[in-house]
Amino acid sequence: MDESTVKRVSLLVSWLCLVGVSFAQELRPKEALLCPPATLASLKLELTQKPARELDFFASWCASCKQKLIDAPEGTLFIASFDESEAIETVVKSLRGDKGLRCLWDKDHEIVHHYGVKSLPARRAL
Amino acid sequence: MGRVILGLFCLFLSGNATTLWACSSCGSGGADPVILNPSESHKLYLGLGVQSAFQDIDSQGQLRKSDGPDSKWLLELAYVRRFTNRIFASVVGDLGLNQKHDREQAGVGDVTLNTRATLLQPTMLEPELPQLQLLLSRRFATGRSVNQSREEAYLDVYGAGSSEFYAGFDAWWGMMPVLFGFSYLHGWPSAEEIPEGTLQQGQLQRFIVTGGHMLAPELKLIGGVIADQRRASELDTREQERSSRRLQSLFLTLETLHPEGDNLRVTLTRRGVLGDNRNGVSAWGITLAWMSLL
Repeated sequence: MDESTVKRVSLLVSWLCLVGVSFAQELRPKEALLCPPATLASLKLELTQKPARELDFFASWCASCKQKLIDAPEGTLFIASFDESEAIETVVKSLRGDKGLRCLWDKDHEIVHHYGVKSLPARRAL
Repeated sequence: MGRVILGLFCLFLSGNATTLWACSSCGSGGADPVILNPSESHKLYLGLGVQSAFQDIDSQGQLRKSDGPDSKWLLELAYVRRFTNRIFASVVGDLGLNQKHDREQAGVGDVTLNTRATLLQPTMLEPELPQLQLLLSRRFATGRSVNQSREEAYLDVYGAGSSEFYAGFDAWWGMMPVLFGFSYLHGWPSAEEIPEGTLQQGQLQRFIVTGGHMLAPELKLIGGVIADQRRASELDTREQERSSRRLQSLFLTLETLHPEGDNLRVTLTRRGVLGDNRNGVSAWGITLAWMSLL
């Protein structure tokens, strides 16, 4: 095996390891989360039991979303979107601390697709 | 010149990117032409570009009259799709049209597959972190090369000649008042069979350095340098003397960033303009691109 081939194989193996880590992070067991994962069905059930005035979509990489998270107006249900649980939890914990936040994580993008959300920040009145 | 740079620097400090967009190599022409931003799942790209005012750069770095076309048009089509929150891939194909005086010829260029994996991403709490992506690409030599040309002035040349495998990384500080970043790509070309024997191009090292600013909430201006170095080639395992290549180019890109609509990008390039260039081509280029979020 020549040097060039060894390098290519090494890079491919590294790439596969990274892909594996990426998937493993998504399979990590869930602790008590500030923004637990939700489906469209579970969101509808949540809204039936505890209505909200609007849905506010955010992500950890959306700097424009920051002030809304800090203010967290009453009657708003926050939906963490296009993001990973770890980053969302860090942001919510840091900005809201003990005050908490009414928040769900749209893990499989069902909620954003249903409400036609393609960019952030986004708001949908209910 | 110093005052211009200082003025631009002050301008850059006057604003801030409010969300994470793009990458260091985006819009440079030096890597995959289209990527996905974090909220995007798939996108279509159509680019039309032209290069002209060609001059050859010889092994001593001297400019010579070009034997090739007067102008080269390129129609590029790409589709990019997300597979996980961190991984997406694109396929890129192009059609070339070469013109020399009153003659012209069109043909299919090379096809490229690109993948990107995001390792690190800034957040609203840590905007100073870079977006760090790994790149893997494979270019397939589907277009005719210089060594396969059968036409005068290389009018039938639309490809690089050999397939090539690329790996690299892209670091981009996209949430700061001044947008900046750098990329590195390493290329391993395959051998090409030519009439004279087996030609093995040297490995490629490509550096891209980018800086820019959000002129408005949905308008981005970036510019930078692409520096290519390719090691000497071998013919039938014999190294060809003075065949290593070096090319430094400039680019400037203006791009709209409508989050839910179509976007346009204009890129100006000036190839072979900086520093010590060898065995390359100097040219002006402009590309207009349209990107549609599906």
